[in-house]
Amino acid sequence: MKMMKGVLLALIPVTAYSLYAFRLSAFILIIASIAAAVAAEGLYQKLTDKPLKINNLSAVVTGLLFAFTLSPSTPIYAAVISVAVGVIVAKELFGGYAKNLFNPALFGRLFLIFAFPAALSPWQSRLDLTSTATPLTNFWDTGEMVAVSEAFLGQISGSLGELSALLILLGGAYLIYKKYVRWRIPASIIATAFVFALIMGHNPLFHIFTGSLMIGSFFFATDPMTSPRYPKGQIIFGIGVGLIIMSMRFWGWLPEGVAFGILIMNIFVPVLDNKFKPQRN
Amino acid sequence: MVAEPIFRVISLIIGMLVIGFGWYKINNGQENKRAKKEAIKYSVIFAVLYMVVILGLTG
Repeated sequence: MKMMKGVLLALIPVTAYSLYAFRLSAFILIIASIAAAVAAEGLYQKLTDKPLKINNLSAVVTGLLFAFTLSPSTPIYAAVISVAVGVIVAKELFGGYAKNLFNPALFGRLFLIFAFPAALSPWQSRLDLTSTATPLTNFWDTGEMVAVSEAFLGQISGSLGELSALLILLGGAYLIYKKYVRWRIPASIIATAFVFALIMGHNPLFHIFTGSLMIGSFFFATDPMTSPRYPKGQIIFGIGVGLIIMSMRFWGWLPEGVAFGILIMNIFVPVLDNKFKPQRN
Repeated sequence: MVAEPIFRVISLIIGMLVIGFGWYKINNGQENKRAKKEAIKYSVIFAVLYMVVILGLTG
């Protein structure tokens, strides 16, 4: 509960900026996603005669993080159904909080593009809410890159939570300072992306500050329930996520691969924990 | 046909059920609770991989 409050606190700058940038559409999507996540969790627990645990705020965090992966034009029904599927399938079926293998918000996001392929388009401009390409879509289509400063300060289009790398960094720094997240995971994802971009002859900062790489590194990949517990495992997990993200950007079938990268590496968490568990002599 | 969202969702549900119940049936000799947990785990792992593969195929 204390950690969930900490995460929500860390997400305030990003939430405020998405509300400022996308106004009512962001507000409705955030409220609908949180309400659907909490309702799905509560309903499942009630129907299966389990004790109600919605007070631990984990469903609120899931709903908010899920909303951050959405385009401001996402239909509400698609968001509501997808986040509910994420909470029930990726979390409650495993036994609920702290027993899940996959990040439920990202499972919901994957289900959204799987079941509602047109739900995320058109992307909207941050400035005038007209249709526009995200920096990564533009890079994917034409190879053009936006200025790094624009991506860092949030003067680009994108999903609700990926607009400003600076604000994500602020929240991430708070989480690391409070020791709510394992710093090796974001550090190894970002370092891998940096080196990968350098090898490919691109500006590494463009790849780090655009798309969901920053929010994915600090807020999704670091979920303590679905990330490795031990340092070496955390580094390998981060490198794996970074490699999948960057491979998707250069050779994949979609401009962005943060959800794929984290969900696929989630599968290996039990193996990494087992492999790097400190031995007792 | 794989591009049709309704086909995707139905095939996902069928696949999850087949993997889940299949795993549970095969391992029913084990402790019941453990077999159920493993069946859910592999069913959801299948779901993630299936969604990623289908999205890859359909672009």
